[in-house]
Amino acid sequence: MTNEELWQTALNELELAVSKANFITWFQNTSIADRQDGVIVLNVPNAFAKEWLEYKYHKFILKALRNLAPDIRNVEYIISSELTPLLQKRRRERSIAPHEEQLEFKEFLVDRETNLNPRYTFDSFIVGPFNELAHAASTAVSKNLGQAYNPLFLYGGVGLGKTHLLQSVGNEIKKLNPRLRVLYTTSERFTSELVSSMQNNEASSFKDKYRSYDLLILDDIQFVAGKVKTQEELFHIFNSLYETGRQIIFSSDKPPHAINNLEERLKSRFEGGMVADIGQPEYESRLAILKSKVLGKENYINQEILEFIASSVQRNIRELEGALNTVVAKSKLSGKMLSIPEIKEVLDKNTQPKRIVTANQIIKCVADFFDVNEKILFEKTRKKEIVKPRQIAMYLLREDYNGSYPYIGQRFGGRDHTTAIHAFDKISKELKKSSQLVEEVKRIRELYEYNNVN
Amino acid sequence: MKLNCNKNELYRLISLAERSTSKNPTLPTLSSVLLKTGKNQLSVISTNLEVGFEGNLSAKVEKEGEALPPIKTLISILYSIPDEEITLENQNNNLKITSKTSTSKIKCLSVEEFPVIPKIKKEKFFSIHQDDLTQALKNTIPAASLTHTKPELASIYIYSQGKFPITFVATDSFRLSEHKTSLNFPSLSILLPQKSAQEITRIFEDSAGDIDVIFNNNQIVFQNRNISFLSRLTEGSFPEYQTIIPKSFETQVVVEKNSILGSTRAAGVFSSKLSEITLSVKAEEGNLIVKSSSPDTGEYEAISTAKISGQDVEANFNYHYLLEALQLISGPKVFLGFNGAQKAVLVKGMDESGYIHLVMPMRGV
Repeated sequence: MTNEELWQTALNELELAVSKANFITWFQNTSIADRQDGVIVLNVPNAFAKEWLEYKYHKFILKALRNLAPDIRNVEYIISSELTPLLQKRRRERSIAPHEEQLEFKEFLVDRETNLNPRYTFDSFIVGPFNELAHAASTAVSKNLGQAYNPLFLYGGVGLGKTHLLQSVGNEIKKLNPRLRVLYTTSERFTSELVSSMQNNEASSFKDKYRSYDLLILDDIQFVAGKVKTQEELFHIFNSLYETGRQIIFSSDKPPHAINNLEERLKSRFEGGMVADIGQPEYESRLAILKSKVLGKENYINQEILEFIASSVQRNIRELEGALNTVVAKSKLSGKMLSIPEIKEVLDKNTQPKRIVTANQIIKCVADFFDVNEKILFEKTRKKEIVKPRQIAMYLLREDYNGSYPYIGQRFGGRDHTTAIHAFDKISKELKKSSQLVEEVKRIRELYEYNNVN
Repeated sequence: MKLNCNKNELYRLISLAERSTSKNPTLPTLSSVLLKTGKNQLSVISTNLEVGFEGNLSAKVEKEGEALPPIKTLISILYSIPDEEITLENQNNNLKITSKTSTSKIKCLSVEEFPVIPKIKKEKFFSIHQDDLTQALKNTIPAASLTHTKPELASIYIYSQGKFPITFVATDSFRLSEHKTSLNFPSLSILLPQKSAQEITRIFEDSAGDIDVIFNNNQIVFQNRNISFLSRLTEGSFPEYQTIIPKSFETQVVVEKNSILGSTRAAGVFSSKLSEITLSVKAEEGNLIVKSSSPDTGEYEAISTAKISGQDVEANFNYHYLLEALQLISGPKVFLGFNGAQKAVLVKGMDESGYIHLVMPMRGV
C-alpha cells in the first residue's frame, strides 16, 4: 500500500468517527510526508491543525493507521503549507488590477536564481530578415547546448532584441531541463561581483560559482573593455566552461574585433564559435512586431495606424513599442481612435527626433574617427589615408545630410560635382563588398547620432 | 463559572476578538468566543485558524469555568446593557449575563469543540515599543499588495541582518515602502500577512508600553500584558528589493508637505479613469507643478514653489499611490527624488531617515 492509499483509507475511517465540520476543518489538506521505521509523519496545513490533531485525535489517527498497517508505532505532525481550506475559498481577487499604463518594478519579475525574466521567450520573438541568423543560431544552441555553436556571440544596436534572444535561450533551457544551471548576467554586474568578492576575500567562491554553470549568458560584454582584471577572470572562466563543453553566450553592441581595449586572446575566443548580428528591422518586420503587440488594444488601433507607426519609427524596436503604447494611452484618454495627423503630432513629441546633423558635424566625426586633421580633408592631396576619409565624408554628406553634389564638391575645397558623385558611387559599391567599411560607416554614424557632437 | 467584571472593558475586548473570528457557517465554534476564568481575570479567546486573539481583563472570579457563546449575540447584548457592572454565570448550557437592569441567557456551544491556540516557545523574540511598531506597520501596509496570487507581496517583510536594524518593507510591485526601526536583532526574516498587520495596528493602537514579538518558522505572536495576538506567517521569500532603491537622483525637489498634498488631492478630482496626474518640475523657475485633465470632468493645475536641483522632469503617477506616500510623511517638508519619467520617484520626509516610499510612474501620454 502506498502512503497515499494508506492515508486515504485511514481518512475514510476517520470521517465516520468525527463530525463532518470537524473532519473538513482538521483533516482536509493533510497527507503523509514520510514513513520510516514505523513512524508516520503527517503534513498538516497549519499550527492549529497540528495542535488539534496532536491533542484531540492522535489516538483515533494512530488506531486507524494501525488497523491498516500494524507495524506503525507512532504519528508525528509537521506544518507544511500555509493554505488552509478556509483561505482557499477566499482566494479571489479583491482589487482591480492596475492599468497597464502603470509601470512596475521590473526587477521583481526576474528569477532570483538565474536572473532570467520569464517574459522573454522564443514564442514572443518576431523573426524577420534582419535577425533570422541570430534567431536560428540561438534556437540551435538551445536545442544542442554546448555543441552547436560555442560560444555564441550576438551583436547589434540598442533596442533590437539582443537581450530578448539571450534570455529566450536561458528560459528555453530551463523549461526543457530545470536541473541545468543557468545564469544570465550583464558584464557590469559580473565586474561588480568580482570586485566585491575580492574585497571580501571570497575570490575562490566567485570562481567556483561561475565555473558551475551549464549555460552562462553575459550581456553587454563590450563593457569589460579596459577592465584588465575582469578580462583575465573572464578568460579563465571561459576556458574552464569551454573545455567541459558548457555553453557560453555573449552579446555586445559591436562585433568582437571592433571592441577597443579588449585583449586579443578574448577577441579570438569570442570569434571562435558563431558570430551573428542583428540589423535594423525593415518595414515589414516592424509592422509584424507591432501587430504582435496590439492584442487587447484593437479598439484604439487599426491597420492604417500600425502602418503609419511602422513607417515613422524606424530604428529601434523599443521605440516602436513605446510609440504604440503612447498612441494607445492617448486614445484611451480621449476615448476614441486617433486620426493620422493626431498620431503624427503625438509621435513627433515623444520619439527621438530624426537625425538632425550638420555638415560640420559629419566632417568632424569622420576626421575624428580616422584621426586626421579636419583641414587636411579639404586639401588637394591624393594620399590614400586622406582620400578614403574624404570619400566617406562625401558619402555621408549625401546620405545623411542630403547635400547636393555641387554643394559637397564646393565644401571640399571647391571640387567639381562629378568628384562628389564619384566618391558617393565608389563608397556605395565598396559598402556592398567590404564588411569592414560597413562597420566603419556604422560607427561614424553612431558618433554623431548618440554622442550628440556639438 | 461565575464572575463580576466591567461591561465596557469586556465589550472593548470582545469587539477586538470579533475581528479574529470566522464567518464560515459550517464551523460555528469559529464564530464564537471562548470565555475562560483565570486568577482574578477573565480571558477572551477567538480564532479563525489563521490568527488567534487572546485578551485579558480583571474580574472578580467567584467560581472558575469556561463558556463558548456565539460572538455576534454576545456583542449585541453587551452593547445594549446600560450598566457598568455585570455578572457572568454558567447555567447548564447557557451563559447568563446579569446587570442592574437586565438579565439575558445566551445559548452556548460545547467548550470541547474550541480549537487550541498554538503556543510558541519563547526562543526567538524581541521587544518593540508600541508606537514604533504601529508606526512601522502603518507606514508599510498601504504599499502591500491585496491580491492572493503572490502571498509574499501581500505581506509585510520584517527583517534584520547583522548591523542593519529591524526593517519593515512592503511592495505591490508598483510602489514600495520601507521603514527602518532603531532596533537591532542578529538575523531575522519573516513575512507577516498584510491582514494580520492591519489587525495588530488596531489591537495595540490604544495600549502603551513595549510589545513582545515572539516567532518561529510558521507563526508569530505579538503580546503585551493584556493582549496576545497570534498569526501565521507567509511562506516564501520577499524579492531582492535593495537594488531598486535609487542612490542618486537626476532631479531633487524639496517642497512643503501641505502644499503638494493639497494639490495632489485636488488633481485627483480631475484625473481620468487611469487615476493619472502629472508632476512637472521646472528647475529654473523653482516650480513644482501638479496637473491633471480629463475629457469628461475638466482640468486642474497648481504651482508650488520648491527648492529644486538638477534637471527638469515631467512624469505621470497614479494619484492614489502618490497621495498615500505623501500622507505617511510626518514632517512639514517633503523630499522628492526623480530619475526621469520612466523610473521610480523616491518620496520621504526631509528630516526623516527611517521611512522612504518609492512610486513607479505611469507610462507617458
